[in-house]
Amino acid sequence: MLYPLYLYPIFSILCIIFCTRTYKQVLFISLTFSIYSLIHVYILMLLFDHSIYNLYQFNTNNILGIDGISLWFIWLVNMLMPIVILSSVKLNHSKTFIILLLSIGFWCNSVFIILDLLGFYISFEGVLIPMYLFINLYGTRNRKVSASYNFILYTICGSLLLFVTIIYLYLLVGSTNHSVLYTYSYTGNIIYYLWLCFFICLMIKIPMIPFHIWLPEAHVESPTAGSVLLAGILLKLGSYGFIRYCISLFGVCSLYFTPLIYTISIIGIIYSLFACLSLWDIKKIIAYSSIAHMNLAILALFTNDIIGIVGGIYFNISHGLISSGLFLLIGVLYDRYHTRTILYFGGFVSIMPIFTLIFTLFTLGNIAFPGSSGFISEFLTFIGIFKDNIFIGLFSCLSIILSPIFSLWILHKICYGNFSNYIPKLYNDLTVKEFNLLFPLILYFIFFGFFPNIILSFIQPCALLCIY
Amino acid sequence: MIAIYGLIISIYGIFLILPQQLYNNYLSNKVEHIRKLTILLYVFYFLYLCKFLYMYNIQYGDIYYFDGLCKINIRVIYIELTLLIICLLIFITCNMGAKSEIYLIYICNMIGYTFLLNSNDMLLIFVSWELFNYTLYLLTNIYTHKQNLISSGIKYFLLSSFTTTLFGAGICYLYGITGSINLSNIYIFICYTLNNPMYVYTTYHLYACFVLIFIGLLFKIAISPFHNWAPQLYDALPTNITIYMITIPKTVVLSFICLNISYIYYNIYYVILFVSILSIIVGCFSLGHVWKIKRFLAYSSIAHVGFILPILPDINLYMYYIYIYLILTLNIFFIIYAISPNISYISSINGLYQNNFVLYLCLSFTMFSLAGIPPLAGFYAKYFAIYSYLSHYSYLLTIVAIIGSMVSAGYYISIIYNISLKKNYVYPRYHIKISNISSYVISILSTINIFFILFHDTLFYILYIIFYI
Repeated sequence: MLYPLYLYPIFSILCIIFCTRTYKQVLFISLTFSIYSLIHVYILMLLFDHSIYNLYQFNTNNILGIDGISLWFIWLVNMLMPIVILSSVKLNHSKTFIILLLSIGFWCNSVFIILDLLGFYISFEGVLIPMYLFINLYGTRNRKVSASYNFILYTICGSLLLFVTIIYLYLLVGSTNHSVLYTYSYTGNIIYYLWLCFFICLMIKIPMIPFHIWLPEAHVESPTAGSVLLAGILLKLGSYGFIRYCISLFGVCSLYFTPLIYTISIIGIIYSLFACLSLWDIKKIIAYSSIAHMNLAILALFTNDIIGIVGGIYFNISHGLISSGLFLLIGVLYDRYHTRTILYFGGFVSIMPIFTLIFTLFTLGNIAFPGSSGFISEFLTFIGIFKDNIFIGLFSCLSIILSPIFSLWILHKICYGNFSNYIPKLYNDLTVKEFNLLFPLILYFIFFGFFPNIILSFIQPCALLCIY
Repeated sequence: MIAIYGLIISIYGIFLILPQQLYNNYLSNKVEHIRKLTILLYVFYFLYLCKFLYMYNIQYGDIYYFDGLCKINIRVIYIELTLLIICLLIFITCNMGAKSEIYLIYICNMIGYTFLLNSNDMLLIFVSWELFNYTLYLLTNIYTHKQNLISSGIKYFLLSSFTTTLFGAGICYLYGITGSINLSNIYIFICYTLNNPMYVYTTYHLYACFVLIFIGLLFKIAISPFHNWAPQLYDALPTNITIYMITIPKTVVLSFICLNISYIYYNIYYVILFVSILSIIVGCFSLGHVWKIKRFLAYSSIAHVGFILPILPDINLYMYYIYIYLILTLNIFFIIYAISPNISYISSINGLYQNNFVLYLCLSFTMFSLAGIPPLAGFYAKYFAIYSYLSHYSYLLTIVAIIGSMVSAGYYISIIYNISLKKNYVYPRYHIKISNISSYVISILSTINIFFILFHDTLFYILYIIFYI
């Protein structure tokens, strides 16, 4: 049941290489196959049995398998792929652009499907090459050089630590399979070091505070499709790694290192939200806000409380919907005016009313307004954090105050107020294509704001394993 | 076997001595003709060696001795076949220029390393080692049009002959201790005396003479304390000879150590550790201070040899690593040679993205592979190397290897940045066309590199069957 998720991107890449002449055909083939794969995920959801505590369903040879958590991450990947492909329709790039996008999707699917630590590592790193080439070849400014360089070097340096850890675990346990690793009883001080290696590798991907520099750079320099993928999928690889390996495998160490994680995430939340207040580039602001939100999610994941952990996982999915929508909206602005600086924008409500409506909706989602999926996730997260530690809870509540400040400020600056002098006063609203890109995202994040149980019922049985 | 070599060489020599006028009647280009003949000779020798694979007795790792001098073994045959394939690839892809004598040197070199790998006698080893060395000296000194080339060639000759004397001294020393020049007898003697409390002094003497032998051998593969000749020489030589010099001697010497004297390895493991850590550090940290592409690859090869050296006792891991190393190195050199035979600076391949997109992709994927990014071939090499270090509990080496690969990854990726974004001032913006044969070779090697994940376990299994059992 899970092999087709590997095969759809491969088929589409092969078709694109060998059977297409025009860019229209390329788009048609890639869209068709990505929508097939999305339909496949919906079928998986229908067949998924979430009433019993049967982990890793659709298990094939103990190599591939999914549980409730990874099912929703796979849904996120496959839901975003058609949107991302469609968003690059007008750009008339070459085949390489689409092939790189599809290969990123391939490796991201693979991360969530595979039940092997080495396989996880390979697919985790396999994203690097297409993403590097993507930023390097299709970036917009000269700054992309240092951005892509930072992106790849940070990740390599972190993941080599994970690499050593995997080999050490293999020598210790005799297998890198997920289920075998769970059954082994780890003893001694060495597991603390192993946990640290895991943690450093994954915290670079989140990113948490000392290693966060690459993310805003990469977001700013990559094209819209790239930043949507970065925010929507690539950041989730790190938190998925935390859920699967750090928390479930080494529960003792997670408990031991909880103060460290709390400190780092609190610093990350406050620092990045203050950074949002002082920046001009909209993409950079959204990137920093996504750092803050991901740190909040990580804070919730390590609370060792069922509500907190479920809230953290839910936060990841909801953040994937909302921040990718925001990046698409910024892409809309950039396509029209070729700038991302806030200073040039103002009073867009008169020329772009539908844009303003959608931007307002996403901003409300970003500040966790009741009725959006962001509200559910922050609500559950804060319940978990307050149950564990009131002091930390009070500190993390600063994000409730700080994130509306900058979000509403951006909203006000772009959409309302006096009309900007730098921009021609022409009616320039969203096209049908752009509206269709954004519509599913709006639908999903409002729908899951009202009916969160659809996701939570999948997640909850699996999240029980994360409690030590 | 020896008779066949003699016959081939004499026929070949007669062919070479014939005056130029005689050729002009039949053939317009003497060098091209000799190149084709050499390729044919190598193919025949390849087929002749393949005959051994079907001999029932030689399979399953049995060793056959001829008069105590030569031995034949399935491992040696596979290594020789690998070397022949590399030579054939080099001869097919690269045109060797105007000198026709160079092919005779190559053939003599082939004979040298064949005897080196096959011999079971220290004296024969020394003689074939000398033949192997002489031909390499000739190869490095045959072109004398640059002062840089002459000085580095002479340097290589002097230093190499000095270390060869150390190698000879080591052999004499070994004869003095054991009283035998036969490798099998020496092995029996060492098994009996080494770490035996009754023979403490003999053990120390044995360590000393093996260190002497190792100095002679390790000089040839440019391990770190003896690496100074390598970057200069590789840089100065024409690209087609550099390809030969960077692949064949390393493979031969490493295979020789692996096959014949790896039983002493864990007794002098600290020397090996020191040497390989030093060369990983030198190789990885010098990559940033280099402007010339061949110098860059020379330092990269020093680092790779540092990675390989500690895993030599595990023969299948070693073969796995060396195959991947050879694929990547040959691919890079063929790409560079295809762009232009006279390339020297890294800046002259800048902006390859505009000149030839497919070639750019091949080169960048090879660089990613050298940097050790997972789905590519280089990752698996690194994986098994570090697996071997950790399974022998050498944690210091692991840490150094990890730091080295972090640092070197940055420099490899900076090359990708150069070829994708920088502007090229040396060659203006035009479409680089490469010949058919080199495009085939490059595409095959790149395909192996990119899709290595599909058959990495199959390759491992095959190597396990061939070399380990």
